[in-house]
Amino acid sequence: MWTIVSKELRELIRLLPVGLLLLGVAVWLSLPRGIQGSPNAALIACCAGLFAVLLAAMQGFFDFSDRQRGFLFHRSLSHARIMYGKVLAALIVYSIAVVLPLGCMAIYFARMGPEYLPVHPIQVLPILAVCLAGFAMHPATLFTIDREAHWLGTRLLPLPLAIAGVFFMAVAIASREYAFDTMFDAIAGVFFMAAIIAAGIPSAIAIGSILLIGLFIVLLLALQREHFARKLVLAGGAVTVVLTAIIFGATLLDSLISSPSASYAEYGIDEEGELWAFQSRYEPSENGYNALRVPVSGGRVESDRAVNLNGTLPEDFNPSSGSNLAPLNANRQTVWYQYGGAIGRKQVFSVPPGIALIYEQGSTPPLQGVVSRSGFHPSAAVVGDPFTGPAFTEGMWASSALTAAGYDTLWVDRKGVYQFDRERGTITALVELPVESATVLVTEDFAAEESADDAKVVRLYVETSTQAYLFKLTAATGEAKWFVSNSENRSRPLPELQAVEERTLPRLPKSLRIAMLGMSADGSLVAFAAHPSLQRAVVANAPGAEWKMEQLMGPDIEVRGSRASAYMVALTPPAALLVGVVSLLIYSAVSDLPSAVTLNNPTDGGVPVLLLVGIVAMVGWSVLVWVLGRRRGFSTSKRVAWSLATLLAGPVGPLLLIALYRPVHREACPRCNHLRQVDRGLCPHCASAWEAVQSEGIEIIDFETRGNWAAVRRTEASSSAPSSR
Amino acid sequence: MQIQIIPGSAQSIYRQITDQIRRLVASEKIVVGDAIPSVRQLAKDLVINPNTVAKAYAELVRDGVLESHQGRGYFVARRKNIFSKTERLRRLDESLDAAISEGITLDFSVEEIIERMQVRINKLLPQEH
Amino acid sequence: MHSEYAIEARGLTRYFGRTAVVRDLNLRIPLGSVTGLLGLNGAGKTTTLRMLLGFLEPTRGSCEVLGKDSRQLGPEDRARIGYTVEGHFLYGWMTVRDCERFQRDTFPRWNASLFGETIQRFAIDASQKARTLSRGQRAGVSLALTLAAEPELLVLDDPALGLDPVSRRALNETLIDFCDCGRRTILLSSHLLDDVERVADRVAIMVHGRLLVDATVEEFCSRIRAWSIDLPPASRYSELIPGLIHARPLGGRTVITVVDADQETEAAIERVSQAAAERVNITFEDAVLAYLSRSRKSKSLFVASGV
Repeated sequence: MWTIVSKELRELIRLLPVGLLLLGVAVWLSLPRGIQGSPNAALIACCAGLFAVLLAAMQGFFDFSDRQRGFLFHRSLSHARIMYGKVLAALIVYSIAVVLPLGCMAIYFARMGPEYLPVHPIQVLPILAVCLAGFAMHPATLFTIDREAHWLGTRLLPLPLAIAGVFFMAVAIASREYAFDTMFDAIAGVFFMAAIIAAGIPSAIAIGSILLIGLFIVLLLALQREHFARKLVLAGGAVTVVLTAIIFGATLLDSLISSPSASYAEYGIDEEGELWAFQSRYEPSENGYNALRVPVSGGRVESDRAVNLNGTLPEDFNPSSGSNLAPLNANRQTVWYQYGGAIGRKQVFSVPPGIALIYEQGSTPPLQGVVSRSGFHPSAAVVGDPFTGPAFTEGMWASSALTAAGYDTLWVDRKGVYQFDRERGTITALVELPVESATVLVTEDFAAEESADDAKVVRLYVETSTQAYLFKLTAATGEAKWFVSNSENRSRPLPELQAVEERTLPRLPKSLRIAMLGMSADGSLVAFAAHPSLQRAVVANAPGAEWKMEQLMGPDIEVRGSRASAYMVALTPPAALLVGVVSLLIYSAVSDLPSAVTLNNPTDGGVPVLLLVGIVAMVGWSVLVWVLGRRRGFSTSKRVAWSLATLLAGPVGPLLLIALYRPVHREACPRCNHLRQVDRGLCPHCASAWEAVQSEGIEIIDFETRGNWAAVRRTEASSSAPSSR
Repeated sequence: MQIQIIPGSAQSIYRQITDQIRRLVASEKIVVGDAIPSVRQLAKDLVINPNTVAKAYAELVRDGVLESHQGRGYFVARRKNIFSKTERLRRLDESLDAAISEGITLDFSVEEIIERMQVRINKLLPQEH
Repeated sequence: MHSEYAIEARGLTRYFGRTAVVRDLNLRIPLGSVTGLLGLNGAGKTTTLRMLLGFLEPTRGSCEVLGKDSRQLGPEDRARIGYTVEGHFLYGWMTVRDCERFQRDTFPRWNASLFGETIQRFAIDASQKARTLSRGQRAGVSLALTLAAEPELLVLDDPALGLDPVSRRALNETLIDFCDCGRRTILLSSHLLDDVERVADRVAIMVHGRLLVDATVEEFCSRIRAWSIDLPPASRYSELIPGLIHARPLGGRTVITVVDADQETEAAIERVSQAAAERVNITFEDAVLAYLSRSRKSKSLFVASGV
């Protein structure tokens, strides 16, 4: 095998400069130039994956033509060992191409140090891991090229699996705690049905997905004539294709549902203390790295009727926001660093152990100071290595402090709430939460009272994975600095806070999948469900400890009978539709929320048409699979199985069938004259084997058949001779 | 001993070998007891398939032209009559019949055929006259 | 003891799309024989060889090589089979010596002196890069690579393609040496009829994916006869004359090639030619060409090529 490895190395080494150039350029483009640079881990990972594909393609180009294959594979080495040799050689070249540029990058980070960049050289490791995971593209491509298949679709099946695998690896490495979330979202949630997600019934999603995917895995494993490992790869590829088709279906389905707002509904309290729901758009602010939320439309929320979101907001509408305005994405960890939050020109970054580094854009060096457990330090040198020092907070929710009505003084982690005074360099614990080992900080919110020259936090809501808390805070004496959101730096007297009242709240129902949590000035908490079409709200009154659930907006799903939606119904996997609608109905029945689905729209009357379209599409796809299966020579039972599966899977069925099997040519059976597949030994109609090709009467075959055919020819000749004359 | 092979001629290579060796023996260019090249050697020299050579030798041995000495190779055999007189006559008649009927088919007279036969005999076996 | 055949194909059929490239091939190569596989380009020779070596799945039928199903040839089986692909593929960046090392490390047996002799016969310098070799030299190297592994069965896909006369001679000599008086088996496809006649003791002819001839060279030649008749070629001949392989025009007359002529055949020829048929001698080459010409759509094309 080492002979093969060295031969492959010799051929692939020519590609090393290409790989170094490719990855070098990607790395160079991704170097953060300043604290707010936009490092592009995805670009590097894509380039690495591309290089893996390139290596495999070159190996395929070198060795997989008929002649070259004959030369290389006809040896006293098994096919598998030769392939391993190829993969190993490619891995060596790939590793060099990946490690060299990323190594240079790590050196660059080490040279810059925390004074200039909030990145530690160690943080190159995750992207390195992602790149190495990207090597999965190589065997997938090689396998694709190596398979003998005449229709490209069949060959390409390993690729979607590799792409999905690399994607998942990237997510897992970038952010471990979100990986399973993401996988779940990917398989069940995002990829499945927007409607069910809104209803928030994970078990129903999972059951639906598993049913549909399981069906195809079973079909594939049972029907493919392949080695087990190859079967698995193909099955994985097929499942990925199925999922992709379902995303397609779900995306289409999503637009079937009448949604009054295009983005997340948000919520605010106006000066009179009224609750408003509104829709905003985000605009970049003048300093370039802070988004401004501009309300565009909305309406007043009344607890017992649907709000009209199409109404225009009053001219002077300026709700004091109780919700957390930091865009959610910014809070997510990336491979590079945890982005803390931004107020004005000030940026905060925290690194995994929980140390906060505070930078200011434009100053040199940009590092303003480091917050550690022992307090505030103006220079990173004082704390030693700020990246590896003791944690300041545990599981810090990085954005907490800065987005609470302009304070940079409050920090929340799973252990409690702290006030940080930069001037004095002190950190005071305001609230301590009883920590259980599995506790994770889920969300937090601050209710602030704001006037022309004063702003103070009055209530605090903290939800951990084990409990939810509401705190009323009272002001003590003291001053603190605070920042107004747009560029101005102002110093204001700000009271020190003290938690005086603590109330343990019942936890919000998990199935709501809260996207928004708001608190009104009087301490009411409002939670909104995630999906825009399901504006359910849960309102809790501050004095009471019970959540009051109310549906504030219209019904969840209104199916509209337009032409476009007919197409969508035809293209959506019926299983996805069924599971979605049924689970919504079940959920509505068992939960205390009002009915979620409205299937009939009295003004339109299009629902029967849609039902008809749906049924015709189901049958149509099945018939198509039946016909396609015939062309591919399936047995009747196999065709029945595929057609039944297609009834559930919709267009996925024929797509998969075309991808997996190629048509088999059929010829008339010499005995019964029915068409029969040329690759089958026996005729399915008359059970006869293929007869030997009709003799031309000129064969010279000196084996035992000779006597026979000579005799046959004589008799044929003698019988045909008189008639021909 | 000189044998020449012309591929692509009307006679098969196998026939060319047997004919040439028969002729060499008849013309006494090789005589009784002379060694004949081994199958392998001849095949190599002529660049022809050894199976063909072996088959030709086998026929010559069967017809008593050559004899095979186990382990030593092939030698020109003493002319011995491995067939009875009647059998020899039958064989001779058979080949003559074929030649005569072919000659008549080709529209030669009986005299012409006899004359031609004499010419061929003179050519193939010159020293016997 | 497996069988007396090195290669045994039963009903081997391969379709590419709707066309059968190889159709119901029943081929048997006896151990120790040298078989020339003849056929026009596209007759299915290479496809057949690729199926025999397990590089292409047959649409139906099966083949066994050295007693093992072609689809399941393991490393040990491959070590017993030598195979040179069409066009004598070599890695261009390797020197002849590298090629030898590469081959030696991937085969269990290695006869270095045989390798040396063979490349010497083709006058090749071992330090030369494969990409600088002439076609004949490349043939020599790939032959040497294959032979030095001491296979029991040699499968050569058109080894003589594009070779000069000297290289051809060297190739023939090498093959004769190698077959070692029937201890090893050779199957080679070729277009050079002279060489096949010389080197092979069996001949197999494929026409349009079908095997029409699989016999010893002698039997093949002995069963084919030809007559010349004083008439232009006509398609009705094939209906009138049993066993007619091919009728081709030659100087205003027509040469009719027939297999297994008996009295009935001769009578038919007499009838057709109005008793003006003349027996003509036929060479191996003529006999093969008669078969191959059948596959030509246009007979005039064949005449124009001057054969």
